[in-house]
Amino acid sequence: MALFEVNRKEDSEIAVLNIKGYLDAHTAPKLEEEIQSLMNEQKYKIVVNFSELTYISSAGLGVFMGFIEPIRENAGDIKLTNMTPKIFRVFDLLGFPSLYDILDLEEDAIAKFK
Amino acid sequence: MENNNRVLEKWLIIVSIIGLASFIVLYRHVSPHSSIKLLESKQDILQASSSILHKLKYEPTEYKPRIGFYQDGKKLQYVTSHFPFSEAQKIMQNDIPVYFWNVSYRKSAGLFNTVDKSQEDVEVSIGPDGLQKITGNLRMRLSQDGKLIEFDNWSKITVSSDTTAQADARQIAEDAAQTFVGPSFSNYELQQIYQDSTYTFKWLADSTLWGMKVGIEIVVQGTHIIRYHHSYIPPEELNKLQSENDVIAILEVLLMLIYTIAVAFIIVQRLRRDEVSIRNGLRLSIIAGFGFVLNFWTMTNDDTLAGFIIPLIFIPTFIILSLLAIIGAAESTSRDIWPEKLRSYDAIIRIRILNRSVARSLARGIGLTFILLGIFACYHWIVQHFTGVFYSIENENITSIVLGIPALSIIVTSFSAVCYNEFIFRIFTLSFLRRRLDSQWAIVIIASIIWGINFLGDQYLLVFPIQLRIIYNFLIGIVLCLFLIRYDVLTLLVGSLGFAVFSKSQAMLYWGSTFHFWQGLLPWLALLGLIIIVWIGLRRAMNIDLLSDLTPPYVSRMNERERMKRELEIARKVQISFLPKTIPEIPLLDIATLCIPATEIGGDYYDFIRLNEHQLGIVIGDVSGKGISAAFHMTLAKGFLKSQARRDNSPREVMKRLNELFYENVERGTFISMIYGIFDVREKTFTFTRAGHNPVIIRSIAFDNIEDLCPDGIALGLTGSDIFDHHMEEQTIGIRTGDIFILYTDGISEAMNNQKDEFGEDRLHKIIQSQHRASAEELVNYIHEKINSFVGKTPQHDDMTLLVIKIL
Repeated sequence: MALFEVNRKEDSEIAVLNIKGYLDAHTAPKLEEEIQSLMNEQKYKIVVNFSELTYISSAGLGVFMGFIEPIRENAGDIKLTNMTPKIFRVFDLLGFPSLYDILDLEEDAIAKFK
Repeated sequence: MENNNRVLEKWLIIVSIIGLASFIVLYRHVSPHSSIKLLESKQDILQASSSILHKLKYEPTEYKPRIGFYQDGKKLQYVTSHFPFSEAQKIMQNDIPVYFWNVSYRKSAGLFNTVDKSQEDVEVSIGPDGLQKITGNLRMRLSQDGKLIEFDNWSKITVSSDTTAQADARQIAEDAAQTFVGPSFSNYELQQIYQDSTYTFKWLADSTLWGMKVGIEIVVQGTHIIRYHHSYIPPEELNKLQSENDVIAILEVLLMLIYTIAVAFIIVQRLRRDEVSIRNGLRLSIIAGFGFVLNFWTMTNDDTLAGFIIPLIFIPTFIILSLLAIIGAAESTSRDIWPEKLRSYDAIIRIRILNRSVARSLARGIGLTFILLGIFACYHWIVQHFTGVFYSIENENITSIVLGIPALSIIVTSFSAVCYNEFIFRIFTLSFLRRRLDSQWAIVIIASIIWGINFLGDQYLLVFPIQLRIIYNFLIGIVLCLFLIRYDVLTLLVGSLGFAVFSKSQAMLYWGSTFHFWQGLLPWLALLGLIIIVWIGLRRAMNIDLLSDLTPPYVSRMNERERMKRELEIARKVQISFLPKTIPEIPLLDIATLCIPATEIGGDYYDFIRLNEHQLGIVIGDVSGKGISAAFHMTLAKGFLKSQARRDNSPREVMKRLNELFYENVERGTFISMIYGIFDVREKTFTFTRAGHNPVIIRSIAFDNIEDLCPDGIALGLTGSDIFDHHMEEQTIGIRTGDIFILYTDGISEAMNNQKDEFGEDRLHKIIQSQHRASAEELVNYIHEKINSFVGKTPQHDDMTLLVIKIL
């Protein structure tokens, strides 16, 4: 049952994670693992593309919070892009836009990193 | 129930002794089988039958005789229903052949051929000694002491023998009758003679025997008798038991079906969770399967494919597979409920026999055996003396307890039966019911009723009328269930096995054959051995450590699942205990709430804090994550808020302090969205802050519209004070009579139907707009109804909380 998928593609030092499906308490560890392995490889510039994500729960949101501090300490960032209006609303209500760089397009995020 | 530390309670010892005594005293007088009188052995019967054949002038060549021992159900029914039981026993022993031997001679067909009676080639020749040498089918019935009752020659004799005159044929028949009936043949009168290619003579005795007409029919062909029947005809037609048997058969099949489905369901479910072990089941079922093979080997004299290969391959395979499933399901279910009941059972299966745990269960099992035997004996004694009970059975083959090694046969068949019955009808059924019902008496009674209507129980001795059998099964069921509930699985198995064995084997002591007497004594010797084991085991001071190495590994997985279930229950209790039990009464505020926790506990939380006469603090929050951690964080938030709310009158300041505490004390990744606000009924204001929570909906009477109030604010725990405080906005609005404020969590707006559509805020708005005249409570109920009809049967995935405050 592929309720949730993460696909990683790398552009030099910037890693793009395409996430797809349901991100909740049960599937969050998959994403955590992926970000952790990026950090292990010293890759701190991360773009997460939300275009194919259909649902996110509070546990899913927690994933981003868990990593943001060490990543920023290493001069990196997690930029979030291509959210559907529904997903954006969840982030927006919680006040994420004041804490995270949330952009319309993946290319914008990549450009910003460069 | 607590296990008494004494090995045997006093009452158990006393009742067991009474049971044992009544069994020993009464058995001989109440069991039909104790009236069997046997010749010494199989050899004696073979000798008797071959001497009879010789008298009939047959000499079998190339034959393989097959012996069976049967009871005639009709005669048993007649005798037991017409005479007091003690008299019936004498009649069965001396006069009417209720029990009989069946000896058939067939040509040895070889392993891969089946014998077809009608098609068989028959070779007949008359030897110089006048004996008819025949290779065909002969069958005879002999009474218990070896006298001829019936003889049939089924062979198609094609060789024409000399035609015989009627007088000669009659002479042959009368000679035979003289030989087999003896001097009393003079009491018989010739009734009829038929003649076609053969002569048939029928005699009838001039007096009845115990009310039965006794007749002799002899058919002579050529110079040989091809049929000799000494028949006993009851004066009236016996009650047909067939319709009753049909009902039994239907019930049996139904019960089997239900249990098969239940066991299959449980096995599949547990296999998926990896919570079934076949280790114990494999040992027991292999013993049962091997026992069957051994028993079959000692008894069979069949050498055809159907009679030999099928029992040796298919039956043991069936026994092993079905027992594996049954024992697996029963064990797994009961380990959930009462794992301690399987400890001594686990130990004995792993051959740890000499220890206190096992000894205690064995001792209690022996006690149970005695009690059941006592019930068996007393029950038969009572029904025989006070009711019109009688016994019957369709010509049941009881060869197995007469031929071969009867003690082995009884033990083997009892062992399989006990495994099936106890694991299905006690261990599985009781565990299954225990899970769903609290009352121990209720589960014992339900399980015993199921057992009462289960007629697989006792094929060995069928008591009529049927109601008596149900009551008896019910009684036995109650005792077995109580022993499982009070003691453990091993006690139950040993008790039930002992009962099954002794209730059959005891009869052999009275058959008058030394061989069978010893066979009947064997179970008693085994019991003595068991008592010695108990005695040694009890001397061992220590209980072996049964927990660690004997419990199958799957139990830890099961415990894990149970533990998580309990944790969730705790989380749910914590959550519920933190919600306010009453709604504070403040003039001008009409408040109603709804909070429905999801199965997998979410972290919804709401509370009211009465600040003073005219100010009411109100809070709604949603903690990230689920389960015990969410409950824990909710506790923390509640504590922080309670301590801060009374210190500061500004929701904004309270929220800032709350974030500081939360951010410091909780690991990253956990956050709470929250709204905290204060209704001031004197100033007519509502002042609130929103920390990342869903907006407050206001239905304003002045503007006649619906509005989302969504001041800036970040969820608690997401970030430190700098950013949080900067974004935290406080909003104050005036309140008027008729205004409605709605606070909710995302469980409400994101309630999903099976199409994965969300209920949504628009729907919520529309409902509120349409129902703005309703009271707070009516509005809550209305919204709840609408959500229910929207989601239908889709399971709720998140807590749903809704607060409605209407200004009066």
